[in-house]
Amino acid sequence: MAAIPLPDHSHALEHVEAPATTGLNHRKLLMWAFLGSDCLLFGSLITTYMIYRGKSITEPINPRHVFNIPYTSVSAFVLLMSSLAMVLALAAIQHGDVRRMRIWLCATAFLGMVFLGGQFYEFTTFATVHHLTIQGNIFGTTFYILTGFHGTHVTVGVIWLLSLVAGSFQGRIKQKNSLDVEIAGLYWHFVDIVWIIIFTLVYLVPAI
Amino acid sequence: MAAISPAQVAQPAARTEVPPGYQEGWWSWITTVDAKRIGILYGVSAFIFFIIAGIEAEIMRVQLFQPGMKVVSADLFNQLFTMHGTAMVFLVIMPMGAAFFNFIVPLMIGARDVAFPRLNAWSYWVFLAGGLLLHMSFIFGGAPNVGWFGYANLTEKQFSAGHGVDFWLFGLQLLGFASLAAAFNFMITIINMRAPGMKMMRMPPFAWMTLFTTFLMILAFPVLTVALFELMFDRFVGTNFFETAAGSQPLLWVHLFWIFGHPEVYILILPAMGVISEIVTTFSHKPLFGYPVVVFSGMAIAFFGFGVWAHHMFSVGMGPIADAVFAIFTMIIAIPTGVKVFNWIATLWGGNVDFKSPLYFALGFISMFILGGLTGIMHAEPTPDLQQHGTYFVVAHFHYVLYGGSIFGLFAGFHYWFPKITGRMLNERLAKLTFWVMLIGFNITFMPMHWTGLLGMPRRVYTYSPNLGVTELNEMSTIGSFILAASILIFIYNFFVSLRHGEIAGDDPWDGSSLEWATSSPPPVYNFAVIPPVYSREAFWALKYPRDGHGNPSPVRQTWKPAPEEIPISIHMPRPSIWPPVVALGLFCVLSGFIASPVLTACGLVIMFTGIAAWAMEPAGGPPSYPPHPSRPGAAQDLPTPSAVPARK
Amino acid sequence: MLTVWIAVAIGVLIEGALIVTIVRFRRRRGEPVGAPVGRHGSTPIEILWTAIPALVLVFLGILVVPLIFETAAAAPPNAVKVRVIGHQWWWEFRYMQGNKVLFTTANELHLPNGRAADFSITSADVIHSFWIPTMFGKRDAIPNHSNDIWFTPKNPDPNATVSYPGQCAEFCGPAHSLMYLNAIVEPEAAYDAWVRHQESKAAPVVASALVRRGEQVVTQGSCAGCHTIDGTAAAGQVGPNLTHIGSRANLSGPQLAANTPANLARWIHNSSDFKPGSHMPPQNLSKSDLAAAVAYLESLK
Repeated sequence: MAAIPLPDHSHALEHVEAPATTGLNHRKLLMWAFLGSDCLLFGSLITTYMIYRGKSITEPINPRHVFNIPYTSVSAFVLLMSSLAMVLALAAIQHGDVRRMRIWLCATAFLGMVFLGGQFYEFTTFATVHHLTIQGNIFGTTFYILTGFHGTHVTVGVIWLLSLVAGSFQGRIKQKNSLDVEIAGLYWHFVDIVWIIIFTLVYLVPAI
Repeated sequence: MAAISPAQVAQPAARTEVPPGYQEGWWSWITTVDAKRIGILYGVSAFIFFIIAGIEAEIMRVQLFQPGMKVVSADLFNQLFTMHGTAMVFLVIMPMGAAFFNFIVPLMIGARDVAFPRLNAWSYWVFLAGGLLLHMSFIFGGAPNVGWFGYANLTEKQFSAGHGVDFWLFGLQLLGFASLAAAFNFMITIINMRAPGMKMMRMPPFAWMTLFTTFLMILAFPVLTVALFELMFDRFVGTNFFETAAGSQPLLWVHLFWIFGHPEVYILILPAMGVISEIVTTFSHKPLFGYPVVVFSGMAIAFFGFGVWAHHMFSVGMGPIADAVFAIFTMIIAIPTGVKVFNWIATLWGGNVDFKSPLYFALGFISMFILGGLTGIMHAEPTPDLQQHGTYFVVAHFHYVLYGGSIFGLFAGFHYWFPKITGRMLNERLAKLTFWVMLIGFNITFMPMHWTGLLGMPRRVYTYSPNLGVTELNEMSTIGSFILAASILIFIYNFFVSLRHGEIAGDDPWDGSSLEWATSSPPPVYNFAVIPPVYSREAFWALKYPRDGHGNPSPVRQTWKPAPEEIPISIHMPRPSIWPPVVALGLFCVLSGFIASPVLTACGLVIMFTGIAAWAMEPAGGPPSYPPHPSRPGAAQDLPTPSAVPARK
Repeated sequence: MLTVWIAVAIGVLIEGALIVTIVRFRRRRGEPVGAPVGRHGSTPIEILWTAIPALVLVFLGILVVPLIFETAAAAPPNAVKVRVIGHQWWWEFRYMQGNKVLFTTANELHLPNGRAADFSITSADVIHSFWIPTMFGKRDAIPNHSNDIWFTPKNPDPNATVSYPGQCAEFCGPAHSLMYLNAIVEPEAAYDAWVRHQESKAAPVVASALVRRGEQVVTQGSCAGCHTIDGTAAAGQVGPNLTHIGSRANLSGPQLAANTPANLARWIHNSSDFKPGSHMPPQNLSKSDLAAAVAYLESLK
């Protein structure tokens, strides 16, 4: 059998991805679907916390005796500001300014880490001063697992943002793929909104 | 330009040279990102788990043949019913559905692939890891023995000291992640990758039911994930979610589980209902009656499915108001379900009904599902349910809807799409024999259980008192189960014989209405050389029976083939990748390490993160595939049509 | 029952429609098939077959909802009050008067014919379900949670004593299948006598050396660590109350084993023989000690 001349790739017609039916990018839709799913995850954890509120048998039982609202308000504010930094990072890359995006992404990640550090300090205080531990009673269990899942989401976000920064040094992040930053931004804002909800339901409501 | 006859384009040609992009061998299966191959992997794995779970059921039925039998110990029996239930739900019905989602849905909507091919592969490997982890428990200290629903606080370390529950917990977590990833993938594929002209209301009903199933999955599984994490923390870290000594409420688990569990059963039935809509349409040779209503009833079932979970809990004492609300919502769900059945019957009415084996199974579905649905209505009433709950009456009900419904539906789909997947026809006589033996065996097994339950035999018992008066009924059920098993053996025989010697199917053996029949059997790796145009619902019928100037369709079936000038020179499909199985392996090690050793978890994390990084940095585009093209005279004879399954002579 | 008949009627109608349809419209040999055309739908028909099932269900709902509230209503004030506590794998019954415990027994329940019996149900360990099939529906026994159910047992013959066997209906571990109970419904006079007797302290009806030896073995040995016998030193809270065990007809329930000396001896020696996984450890008593213990316990009528 004679060798069959295979066509020259440069004339290949079907190189491009098929156009999306809705016009929206697949990965952006994926992030929205994932966040929708994540709502149910946090919803279940928050529901568990709310059902068990006040039901512990051993101390500490009343959250008002444990929480330091002013302190947690500051850390919530830090997280809110990180979302602002994220918005600025996205705006930067959409204008093609990779350097400025890098700065704002680092700021976002930094503020996220400040938030996490603040939580670490806050929780060690709860454990040592108020004896609120994860095994101690239902309050400890539900509180730390709920905030722990949130903290894990923040940590994943920080790693993601820093890897975007690293990628930008390799020239992987450009104006035309600003979608990559936008998708990370969606995730980051979601995690921030979840904290607003947790802060309200867990910290603020019992304090009224 | 040499004319290309339809026969040459349609049939897999003799093999001479394998073009780049088409791989053979076991490595190509491990690294595949081709949805069709992934569908086959799901299907084969699901069937193996079906056999295992079936054997577990047979052992149980032998043990229950008469009171006081000692075939298995109480504890082993408890492991058997736990594994049987868990496997049938998560390792059989769901992955069988996934097999069809993968192979058929992209074809049906005129797409070449799914939205995230590597994520698709990852879903399969994580599913397999979950199934393996669950079954490894048999070797490592005993399978879980707490029921497929694992009620707390029986699952706490205090009451379940061994590792069985841990295997169950981590196995289900893996299956949850796999299901979520698959659901995201198919949701976005269906929403965002339809062929031009394939508006949502022109999609085949199976694609719609798949879409609704994905919505159910992404909203229900996180709740199970949370419940399993809470149990995991209780068992490994000493938290107090279900620790009654700390004041906790075991009912929390029951609620969380059923908030997941009820949508789960709609996840199990909606795809099968989609299959029935397809088959009834094709074999009535008539469009689906009330298509928009069938679609919207699927949506209604999915939506209301989230509002009825506590009908599994009428005996826990929620109070009359909650009981009444859930009873009412449960009755409401019966309406869209019934409407679907009526629409199927109306499709058959006035049609030209061709009694081929897929239709046999579809009719089996409809008739058995009606019976299951009626006992469901009986369960919807809390007061009678206080007698029925927790007895063999429930076992009868859910086997009618899950076997009589889902499994018959999946067998229907299998008999319908086997020609498309393999290029060969199943033997019709053996297929019909399978159906009759299965229908008879199924009914002899499960019909008596309605009475067994009403006479007072609870479920999940390894023996029963002779005073109960259910001995003969149990004997009947056991005999029926062997007849049912025989039908599976006939099916397996038919499968292997037809794979080797079945009649060549051709593109379109059933005169199907949807686009999967508009390409070769099996399809090329790129699905379609040219994406067919979509002008209406039943898109392929519209192409085979084109309308004349007066709007009358051709009375004779035409052959539709793409215009040669539209065939592209080459098509790039995604490149195969090792990273999805690597990340899956890493995740498997992370979770198994909780049972085995922290070192394994640490290794798993390294493997997982390395795999994720490599995945993220891998270039996406793959090598080209070459559809038979008129610019290369004689090419159709020389180049085989690259396909998912190697062509056979 | 009405639900059953409605379900049967609907079933016959729909299955019938299916069969008629496929027979009438089957493809006949030699007939040309033609284009796949047919009615796409019909709004009036869709409305009709949505509305009719909806009406049937509304009808059912109207019948059923009041029944739910009726079942959940409070028990009559003169009801017998029993606190039911599920254990792995036996039933504890505490007969109450207000908040005061009159007496405690296990597995065998006596109820007066024709008078309401009000059960307050919970569990000491995992979720169980209290169920006497021939009498009433079931209610789950959940730890840290109390459930209520009441019903009025009525024997067909008001002077008869009838036994209603029951068992746990929620999977609770290895011996779930054998977590039996028995409810004995008797005339009011017989019931009152039983109650008075149960309230009395343990008193062996036989006074022999064997029984006295047995009393020593049981109330001063390991048995006392888990079991209570009122009026003796045995005050353990883990296992069933044995104050009047001799008066019980069965071990666990009639489905498991009759209360004979031989069975009781086997039970004490290794309860897992009867209930696999039983939490009562095998008792390593000498043959004579075992015989003595059995004699003593059987004498506690």
